[in-house]
Amino acid sequence: MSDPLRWKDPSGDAPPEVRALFAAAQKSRPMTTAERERSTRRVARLATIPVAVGLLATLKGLASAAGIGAMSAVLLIGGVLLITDPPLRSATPSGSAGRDVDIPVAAPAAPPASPLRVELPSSAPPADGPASLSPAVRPAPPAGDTSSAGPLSSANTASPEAPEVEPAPSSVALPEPDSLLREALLLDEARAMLASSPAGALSRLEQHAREFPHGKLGLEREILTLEALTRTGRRPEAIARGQALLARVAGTPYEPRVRAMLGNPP
Amino acid sequence: MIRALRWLPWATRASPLREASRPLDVRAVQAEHAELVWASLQRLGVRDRDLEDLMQEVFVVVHHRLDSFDPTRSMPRWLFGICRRVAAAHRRRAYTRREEPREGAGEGEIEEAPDPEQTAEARQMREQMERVLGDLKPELRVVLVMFEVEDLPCEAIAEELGIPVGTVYSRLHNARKAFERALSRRRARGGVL
Repeated sequence: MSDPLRWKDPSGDAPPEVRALFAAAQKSRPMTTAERERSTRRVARLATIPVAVGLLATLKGLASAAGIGAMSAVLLIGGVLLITDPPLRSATPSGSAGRDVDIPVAAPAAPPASPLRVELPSSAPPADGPASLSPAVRPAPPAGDTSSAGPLSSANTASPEAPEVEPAPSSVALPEPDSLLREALLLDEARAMLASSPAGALSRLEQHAREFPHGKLGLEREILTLEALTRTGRRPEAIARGQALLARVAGTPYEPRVRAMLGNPP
Repeated sequence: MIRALRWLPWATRASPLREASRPLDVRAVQAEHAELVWASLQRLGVRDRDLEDLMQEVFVVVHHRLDSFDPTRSMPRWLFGICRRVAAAHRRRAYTRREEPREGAGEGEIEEAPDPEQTAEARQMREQMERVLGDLKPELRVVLVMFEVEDLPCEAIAEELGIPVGTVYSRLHNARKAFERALSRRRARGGVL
């Protein structure tokens, strides 16, 4: 069976107006090498995300399936988990929302005494489809930032008022890696929101600045802030901050990026 | 008290055994299908500057749902379904912010990057085209774009989307009708697309 004539073919039967539109249409462009490499790196980080992160999506899925709010689901499941004594720990990514629901259970090979904390992000949107999973996901921090971070499942992003599930009191604390991890997760969350909700991204970045005024990832935060400001229409403010930032990033790998944002390539 | 979880059927799904038998991970899917995801998002109207972020959103969903993927089914088709939903969610958000999807160009741009090859007329035509395509169902839109814009043969479209070639013909037929209806509707509303 041969293909039909294409509309833009001169001998096709499309109305002239339609033919003109299709003749002017833009073809998809292939990924550049740089884009592909960036995607590979981001996905590699994503693949390391432990399951506790998926638990939030799970709870959202449950909430969606049960027709209740995410907070109610957290409280409900939290109630179930609190009456169980084994430590719940990193397992696998969760299944799909509302249907394939996974709860991470203890993995025999997991290191001991790493309590799971399940916390609800402050702005978790309603679960309305696969895309809604993304805010729940905290991509793993960039390589190099978390070399000593330990199991990622031990901490996820949180709002101060978020409910917590800690199976047993533990004196094990991961203060340094934990805070670095949280820094990275906040920034990753902001980065993921840049395209869809730059105002939300800005809010995350401000949260990072409040919580980590001397954080190790301050430069990364500033650069993301430039982009978020630009995307929210605050270009003059972005330029002013970018120019102030130039002195701090001089000679670092960030410099070309800041200059490019300012329209001032090196 | 882990017993307390056993009566919840989903509680034990993430067993080590289950994990060990998992055939794929998101890195393998990305390595093999990144181009498909990239192209599908564009065909669904995602603009250039949002492509990388939305592609990552797709792989986030893949990462979370890979357990539910049936390996006897078509991976491209499954991925396209995810792309469709991610793009639809993005479109809703863009609409809320009164932004037009796929109007800009330029990788990671922040400032407007003038394209000397684009005349104002051609740009206007593309924007009109985008608006009309935006009225189509995603599965029709994609086939129409692949056939009429990218000049792909129906066999290739079928293979890439993981659907029978007969379905491609059927969708193409329906897409053309839908496009003409959408064009007429927009013209009737005031002559401006």
